[in-house]
Amino acid sequence: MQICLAGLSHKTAPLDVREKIAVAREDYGHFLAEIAALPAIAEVAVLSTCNRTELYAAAHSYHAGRHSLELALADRARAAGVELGESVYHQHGPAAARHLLRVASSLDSLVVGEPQILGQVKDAYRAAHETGRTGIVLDRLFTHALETGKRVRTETAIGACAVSVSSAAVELAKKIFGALSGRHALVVGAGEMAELSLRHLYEAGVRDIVIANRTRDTAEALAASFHARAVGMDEIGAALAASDIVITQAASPEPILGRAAFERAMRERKNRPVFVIDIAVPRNVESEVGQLYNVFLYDVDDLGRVVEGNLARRSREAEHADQIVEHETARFVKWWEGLDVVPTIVALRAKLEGLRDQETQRLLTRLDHLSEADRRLVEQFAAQLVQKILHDPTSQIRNAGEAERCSALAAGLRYLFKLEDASPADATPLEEPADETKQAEPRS
Amino acid sequence: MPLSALDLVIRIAGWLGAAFALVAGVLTLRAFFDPEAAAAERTGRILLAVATICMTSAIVARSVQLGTVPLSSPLESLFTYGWLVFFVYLLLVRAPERPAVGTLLVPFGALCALAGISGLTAPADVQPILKNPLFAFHALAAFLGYSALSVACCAGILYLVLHDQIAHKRLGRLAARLPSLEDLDALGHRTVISGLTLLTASIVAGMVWAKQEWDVLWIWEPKGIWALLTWAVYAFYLVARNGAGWRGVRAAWLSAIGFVASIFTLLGTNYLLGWGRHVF
Repeated sequence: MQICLAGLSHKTAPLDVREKIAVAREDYGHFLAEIAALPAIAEVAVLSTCNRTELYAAAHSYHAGRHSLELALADRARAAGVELGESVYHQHGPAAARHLLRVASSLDSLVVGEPQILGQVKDAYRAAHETGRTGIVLDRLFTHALETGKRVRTETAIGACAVSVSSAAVELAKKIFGALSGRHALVVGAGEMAELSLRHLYEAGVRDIVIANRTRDTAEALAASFHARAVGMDEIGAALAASDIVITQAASPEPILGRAAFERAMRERKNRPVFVIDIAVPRNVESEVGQLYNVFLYDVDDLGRVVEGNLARRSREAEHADQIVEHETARFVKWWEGLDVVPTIVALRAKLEGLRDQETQRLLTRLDHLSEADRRLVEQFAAQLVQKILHDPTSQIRNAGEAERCSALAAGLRYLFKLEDASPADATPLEEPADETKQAEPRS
Repeated sequence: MPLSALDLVIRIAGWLGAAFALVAGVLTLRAFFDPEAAAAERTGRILLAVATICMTSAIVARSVQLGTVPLSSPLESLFTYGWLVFFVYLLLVRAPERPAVGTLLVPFGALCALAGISGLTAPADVQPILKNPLFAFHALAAFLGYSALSVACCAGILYLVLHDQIAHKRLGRLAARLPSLEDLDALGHRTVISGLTLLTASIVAGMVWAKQEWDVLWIWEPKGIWALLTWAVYAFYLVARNGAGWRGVRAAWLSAIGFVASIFTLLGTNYLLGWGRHVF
C-alpha cells in the first residue's frame, strides 16, 4: 500500500487558482466519491482550506495512485476553468506523511504557527472518515498528524506570540494591566482595525466601552455589538480620564488627541497607566503624548515592529517543531512499513493454530484412556510447540528493517505456507500492530 | 545533655532547610528560563514549603537554646532573614508574579540560609538584656519588615526592567516571562504597606524597650537614625504613590532606594559606622 499526495498551496498557486480549486464543505462527499472510484485508490481524504487543496490517498501502487490523483485535480481545474500548470506538487511514502504532519503543525502555513489549521485537518479527516473513505492507513496517518499538531502546540512556543497587529495590541495590554476584565476602553473612530482590536479586547474581558465617532450612527451600530456606549467626538475628553485603553482609528488630517487632553486626564486618574493604540494613518494622537508619565503610546508602526519580532521568534520555534515532526514521521513510517507484514503473520498464525487444533483433537480421540490432567498436558505441549515455531519468524520479519525487505519476506512466507488469501490489499484491517505483538507473546 | 540534642536538631533541620531551599532556587530559575518546565516551578514551590518548615523547626530549636529569637549575631540573623523571606514569598506573592519574583528571591533566600547555617556558632552567652520579649518583638518585626521590603524591591526592579522594554517598544523574551506592570506595581504596594507597618511596630517596640531598660525613649545613634530615614522613604512611597500619583516607575525607584537604605540600616551602621548600642 502506497501513500500518495497531490495538491497545491499558497507556495505554488496564486489565490485565484486556489479559491477555484478549493472544495466547499458540502461538496466533500461528492468529490471524495469521485476520487475513490478512480483506479488504484483504496482510501482517500481531501484537505481544502483557503491556502491549500491537498488530496491524500492510500493506493495499491504509487504510479497508478499518482495518476488518479492528478486526474482528479485536472478534472476539477477543467470544470472550474483554471490552468493548473506547474502548481501541483506530488509526494509519496514517508515524504507524503511528513508533509501532512508539517501541515497539521502549521509549519507549512502562510503564517507559521497559526492555530486554525489543526481544526481544518480534523474536519478534513472527519469528512473522509464519516463517508467511509479512509481505512487503516489514512486513519492512522491523520490521527498521527493531529497528535503531532497538538504536540507541537504544547511543546513549542510556535503559537505563543501575537503575529497580527490587533492581537499584538491585546498582548501588550495584558503586559501592562494583567487581567483585562473590568478594564475600561475608549474607541475613537470606527475603522476596521479598531473594531478588530476591540473584539479581541472584549473577548479578553474588557467592559465599559465607550465608542466615539463623527457619524453617530456608525458608533451606535458598533456599540450595539459590544454593549458599549456611543458618544459624539466632543465627549472624548470626558471619557478619557476613565479609560485604561484607548484605541483610535478616525480619519482626520490633524491629531484629535493632544498632550493637553491627556495631561488633564492623567491628573484626574492619578496617573493610573493608560495604553493608547493609535492605528490611524495619519496619526490621531500627538506623539508627545507618549512622553507623559504612565502613558504607553503605540502607533501602527510600533505594533508592526512587535509583530515582526514575534514572527522572527516563531521561526526559531519552528526549528524545534521540525524536530518533533521528524521524530513523529519516523514513528509513523515504522508502523507503516510493518503494515504489509501484519496480515501475513496473522494468516500464518491462523493456519498453524488451525493445524494444531485439528491434530490435537485427532490424537486425543485415539488416546481416550488418558486422565483429564494428561489430556491437558498434551494440549499444552501442542500449543507451546506452535508458539515456539512461530516466535522466530514473527520477530525476524518484524525486525527485518526496510519496507521492501519486509514485503519480500512476507511474500516468501505466503508462498511457502500457501497463504494465498492473505494478500495485504484485502486484509482485515488491524487497529494497532501493538495488539499483534501482544498476541505473539507466549500465552501463559 | 539537652543542649546537644537541641544542637543536633538545629543543625540537621537547618542544613536540610538550606539544601531544600537551594534546590528550590535552582528549580525556580530553571522554570523561569525554560517555559516548558512548568513542573519544575511546582516542585520548586513544594520544596520551598518543605524547606521553610525545616527552617522553622531549626529556628524554634535555636530560640529555645538561646532563650530569645535567633537575631543576636550577624550570621544567625542571615539565616532567620532567609527564612522570613521565604515566608513572605509564600504568603504575599500571588501566582502571576511568582515565577519572576521567585527567580530573584528564592536563590537569594537560599544563599542567606546557607551562609547562616554554615556559620552557626555555639550558643554564646546572650546578654541577659536581650532575653526580653520586647527585644524579640522588636527584632523579629524589623526583620520580617525587611523581608517584605526585599520582595517590594524585587517587584520594583522587575517593574523597571519591563517598563523599559514596553516604553522603548523593544519587547524581548524576558518581557514574555514577566508578570504585568500593574501586577508588579500592586505587589510592590502590598509589600511596602506590610513592611512599613512592621518597621513602625519595631521602632515603637524598641522605644518601649529602651524606656524600660534605660528610661529614655530614643537614643540618637546611627542605627536608629538610619531606621528613621528608611521609614521615611517608605512613608514617602505611600504618600506619593497614593496622593500624588507616583505609581509605576517612580514607586519602583522608591522601593529600590528604600531597600538600599534598609540594607544600610541593617549592616552599614554596624560595619561602616560601627558604634551604637545595637549589638546588631
